[in-house]
Amino acid sequence: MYGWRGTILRVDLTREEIIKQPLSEAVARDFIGGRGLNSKTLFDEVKPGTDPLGPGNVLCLAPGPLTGTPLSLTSRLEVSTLSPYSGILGDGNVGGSFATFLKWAGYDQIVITGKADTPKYLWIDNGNVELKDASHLWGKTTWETTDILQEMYGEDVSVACIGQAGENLVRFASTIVDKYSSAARGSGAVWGSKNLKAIAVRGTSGVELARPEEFLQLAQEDNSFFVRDHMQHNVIAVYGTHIGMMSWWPGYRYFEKYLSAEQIPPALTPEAWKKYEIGRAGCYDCPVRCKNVFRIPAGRRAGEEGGALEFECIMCLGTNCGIQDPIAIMEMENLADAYGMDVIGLGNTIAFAKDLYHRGIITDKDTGGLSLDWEDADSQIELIHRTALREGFGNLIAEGLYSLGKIIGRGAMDYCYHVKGLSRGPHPAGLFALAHATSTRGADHLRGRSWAYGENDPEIFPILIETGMLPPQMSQDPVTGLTISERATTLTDAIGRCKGAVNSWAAAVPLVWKYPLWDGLAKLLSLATGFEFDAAKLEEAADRIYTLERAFNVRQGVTRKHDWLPQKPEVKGTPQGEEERKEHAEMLTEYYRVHGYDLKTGIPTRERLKLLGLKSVADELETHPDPYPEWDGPPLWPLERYPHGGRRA
Amino acid sequence: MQPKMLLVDVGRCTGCRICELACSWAHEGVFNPLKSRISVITWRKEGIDIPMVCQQCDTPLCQDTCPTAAIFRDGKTGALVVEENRCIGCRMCIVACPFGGFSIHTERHVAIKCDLCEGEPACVKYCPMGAIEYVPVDKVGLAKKRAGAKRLSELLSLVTKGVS
Repeated sequence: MYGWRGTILRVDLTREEIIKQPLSEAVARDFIGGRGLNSKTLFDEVKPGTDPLGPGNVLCLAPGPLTGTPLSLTSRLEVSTLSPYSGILGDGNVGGSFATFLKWAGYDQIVITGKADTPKYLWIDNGNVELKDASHLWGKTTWETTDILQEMYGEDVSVACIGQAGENLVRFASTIVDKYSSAARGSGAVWGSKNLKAIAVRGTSGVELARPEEFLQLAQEDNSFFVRDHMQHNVIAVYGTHIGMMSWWPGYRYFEKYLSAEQIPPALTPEAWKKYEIGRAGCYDCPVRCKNVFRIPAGRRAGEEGGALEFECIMCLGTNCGIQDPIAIMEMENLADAYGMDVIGLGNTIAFAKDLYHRGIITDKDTGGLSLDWEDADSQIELIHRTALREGFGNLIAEGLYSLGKIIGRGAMDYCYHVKGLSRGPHPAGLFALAHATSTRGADHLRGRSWAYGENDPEIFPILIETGMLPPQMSQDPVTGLTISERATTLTDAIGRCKGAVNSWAAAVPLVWKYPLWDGLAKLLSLATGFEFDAAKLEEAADRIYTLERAFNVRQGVTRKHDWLPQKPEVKGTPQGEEERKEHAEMLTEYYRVHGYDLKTGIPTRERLKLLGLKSVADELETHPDPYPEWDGPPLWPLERYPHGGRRA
Repeated sequence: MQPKMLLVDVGRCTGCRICELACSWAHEGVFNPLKSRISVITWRKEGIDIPMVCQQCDTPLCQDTCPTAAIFRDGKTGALVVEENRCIGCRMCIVACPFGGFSIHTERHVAIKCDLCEGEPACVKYCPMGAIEYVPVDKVGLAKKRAGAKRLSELLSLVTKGVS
């Protein structure tokens, strides 16, 4: 095969068996790779009723067919599993160099099943793959684990691993790649549940393309265009996602309000963060360098360096928790990376707990005496340690936002702002709300992207259309715009390209500035793989992947009822609240119509599934004897069942 | 004709390594950095990336050290080129070169190095940042002086404006 390497690496941890399985050409064509391949595997192999933290869950890691090629921004790894955080499909897309090295080692996907008796790590040296004892790594941070493995195998090795949080089954524990890149939705806890500590990969065999000369020429055009793009060159390459502080309305004190550019604390502006920056870094194959490398100048961890501090950390662990001290925020970022936790899940769960504390729903008795005052950074840092190690009140935080609310009861759920278990602040109806409400991994800003439909910036939107930075189809009607945006991000995740560092349409769809929508990407994929892709086939593939993900969630008990955005109790039931719900319901119906979902239930129709080549999925959904139990978060464990402890980072 | 050289602008390089893929493609027909003649060395914490490649020295230690006289200078480009059927893979050139200009081919086990692509270097063509230039050797000194002077003038204008 060209583009793809033609091999899937299957690791059965229970039997300690490693199998190299050929990648079927039909599956490759239909699901492309990355997220598409992973979602297909999960639908086929993870049946309803599976405990996300049990041995029956499956963990998939996949680069895409364009990973490791000279098309820039393609070192992206998709990590997918049944999420122990949300109880539905959980995937995270992560940079670093792991995806490229895995591809060069010869694999299109790693599928991990079962559970090892004792801690193990996987060592992939091109064609040689071994499961090795990881007892010397267990209990160590992601940074220590990476250092030890790189010392053993060399600097040309990339490491994906978990820290103490993953070992202790913290439900928002992440897979950490190359120390600083985090794949969220709780995949880290799945590694921990399988007794898998790390995967180290060396890949040196490169990649073969069907028509390399032409591919290189076309990739070069896109690469050169890209680095000269204003957004990349002058904004992302300089400030990274920090720029979001000025335009993305971060939440403040658990979504009490959203901060405008003028309301951002002076110590947290993009310019202010420059003070701590000691360099910039990027992923393999990327000329943008969106990550800021920083050094903490003072305090407990003075002198410690960190690899990437994103907007999401500043927002979720900072402003939304009421914290405005940049030094504390840097310390929390490093703790999250070292323990291996997702800053969004961690930050918003703590913010939720703080909100409950101020409402008197939880007290010092619940927290074990730990203060949850908004501005108490020291207590929050202590709580982060306790969460990763599941000590005291941290054991409850480690359950994640939705389960925390359920366990506490006492009316806490009224304030649990989430979509399908993933935190999201209340927001008036509109496309932004619709995108979050329908995303196939719960509340999420990266499935249907906000920049892509201009709701937030009605002035810039027409200019983007006019200058060819957005395709004209986007302006047809709002739901069409959102659908196109969903297809773009689905395909980006499937080919192995980045959509996070870049924030422009041009990144999500290569060559969109040159050719009509999807044509440029179709050309690149055809040149790389030798299969003939065109715009229609790509749209169909994107819809196939997205609809299959929807079907996966339907089996987890998701219906129309769950495609709602949270409302604050003071808005719920009021005329304004009802008006918003009505508006949302109308948009949702239109969205279902466009997507071919049943208008009442939100389940993909047989007709639609058949059209996408998913007839067997329709059969399965229809012949299931009982209704699927309604989604109510991930299955809970008694708190004393979890492993806990470990050394403090 | 004056020989030309690869001039790397370290300030512009972002470490994306597309030059490595372009180079391995141009020489080996594959996209594989192990087979590239140019390699980007990264100091992550400092945020510095430096592409390292043969400097085509006027007094090449590699050529002096080679026991089989497999390294000769190309008349057209002035590049030092390895004649593979004479190379015995002894790696003395790797030992001798102060810049890491050589590596060993993973399958053919002969020394490989930059040959300036017969005057059209692939790394220059495909670098998205324009961080590698192919410029006449006699112009390099003056061009660098000019760039240095520009920086100095900017600094001086700040001083005269009383900024620093």
